Amino acid sequence: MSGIRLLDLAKPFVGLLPEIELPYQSADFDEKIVYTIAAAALYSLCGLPLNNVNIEKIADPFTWLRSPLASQSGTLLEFGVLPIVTAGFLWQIIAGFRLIKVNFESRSDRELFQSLQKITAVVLALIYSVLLCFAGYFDSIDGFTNDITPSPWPKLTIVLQLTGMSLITSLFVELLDKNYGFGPGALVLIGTSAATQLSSSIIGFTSEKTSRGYESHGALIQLIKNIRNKPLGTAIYDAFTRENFGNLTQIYIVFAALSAVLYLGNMRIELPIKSAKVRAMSSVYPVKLLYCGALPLLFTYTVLYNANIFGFCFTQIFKDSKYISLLGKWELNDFSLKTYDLTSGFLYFISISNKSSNVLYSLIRPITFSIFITLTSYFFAKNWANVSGSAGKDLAKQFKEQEIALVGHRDVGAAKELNKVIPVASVTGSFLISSIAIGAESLGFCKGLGAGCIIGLMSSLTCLETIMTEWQQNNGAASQFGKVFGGQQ
Amino acid sequence: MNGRVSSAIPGGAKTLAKRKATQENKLKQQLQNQPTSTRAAGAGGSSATMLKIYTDESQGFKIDPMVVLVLAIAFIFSVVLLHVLAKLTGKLF
Repeated sequence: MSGIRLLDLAKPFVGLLPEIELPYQSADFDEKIVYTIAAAALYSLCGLPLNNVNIEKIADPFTWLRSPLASQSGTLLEFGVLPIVTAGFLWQIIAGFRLIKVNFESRSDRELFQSLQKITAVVLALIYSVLLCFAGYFDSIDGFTNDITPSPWPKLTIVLQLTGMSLITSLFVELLDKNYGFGPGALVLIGTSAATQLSSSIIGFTSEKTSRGYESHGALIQLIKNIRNKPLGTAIYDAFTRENFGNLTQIYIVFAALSAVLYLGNMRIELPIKSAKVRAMSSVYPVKLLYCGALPLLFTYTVLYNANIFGFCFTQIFKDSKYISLLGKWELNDFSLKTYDLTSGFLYFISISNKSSNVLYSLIRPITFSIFITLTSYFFAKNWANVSGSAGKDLAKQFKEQEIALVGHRDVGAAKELNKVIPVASVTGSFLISSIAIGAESLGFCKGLGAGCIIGLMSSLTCLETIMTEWQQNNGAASQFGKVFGGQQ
Repeated sequence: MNGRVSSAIPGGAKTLAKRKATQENKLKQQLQNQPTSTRAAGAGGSSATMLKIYTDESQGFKIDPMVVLVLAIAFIFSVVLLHVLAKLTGKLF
């Protein structure tokens, strides 16, 4: 072995990282529920405005990307789980393609790999926040307040808050990942945020002052308010078309998409399995059509979000350069002063921004956007089973360890048989899920709510699976939770 | 003169080459079969539908899960405190 491994670069920092102890014994059902709810609630609580940022006066270029990654503009959750998810995907894929040498069988290598992911998450948050500061994202956009302060303090506190928050978020994720709570942490947080967002855009009571008077965040609430104050026709038309908050069109599209996802989520192939030891034991092993769940779409949005953050920062910082506008061009939305809209450039074609001076552009955009989403999801789905260790050969290995055999196949044949099903399922599944997302998003009505809710729903279903396994294995019905909510049995 | 010499002499360069080739093939095979993720190595971690990132107990200073929750609350309060300070003093930071 010559040279220094990339993995070893993490070594000096390992001692600085907080690391949650693994539980001595598996926590019981009630405890897990408490930890899960606590982590999710505290995460939601972090949606408080950043210090030194005037949240009402900043414009947001990433509105349509926020919902899938549980982020909120101008708050501590400015990046949501983006740094953690990016780091996780990045290193797992690099290791999966054997671009760096990691010996996963050695414990110390695994630990280093994990620390590397955590460090990357924090460093990414640092990079994003510094770049966004330089790009002037946190400055108020109205011309009246003078924000050009010579002091670097405000910017420094912003960077510190965001970096600290990403460390806290990664600890939340770690807490849930390490079996103190349920399910993969990142997915729990995404699911929580999607649920919150969907319910607030349907029945959110809070209102905000806009150019048309006070408007409620919830579409349904606004409809009721409109019916009382305006003529019926205008009231209903307004509830379906308003731009700044959730409207009923979005809600209907989201519900259609969610029911399609639920329907597809139930499709599976059941492979008959039997015990290799006990003769009469037989069961089925389900291979789901959506084999990779929400991950292909989550990966795609992670890529898009990263591209947009870097794109936005570079275009703002290197404004004078001639070629930078090829990458993307953001223009302040004159009407609301709340968002930046992409109007041209490469990133415009893979966005759902509706605005363009060029008619041809706005005709091409849904097509290029769809192609991008489909191709990225396809790339991911094709490789993820192998990369993550859930491909046919890995499953066959597990079967062998648990002394399970596919009916009608020997040990050697199992991998081959599974490989006939799994790649097809994961690619088809990701294609279907991305088409649903495209259907919901590509016309630009949903502004990310559609994709966010699809990813949130699928993540929650994944978490539900782990909860149900836990319930059955650890006698959940005997827990306090089971006694209260389990019903009569 | 003394009868015919068999064409394959045991030992020698050929056998060495063969052995080397087998060895290399074996190494290659092993490299191919090396796990590429923590799950493949049988240590938990991301699966097809889950992105489980932190499943090992790494070095670094160990903390209790309760500490995480307390830390988070402390962090939230410190940000709130900053807001309050900013309101009170107008321009401290």
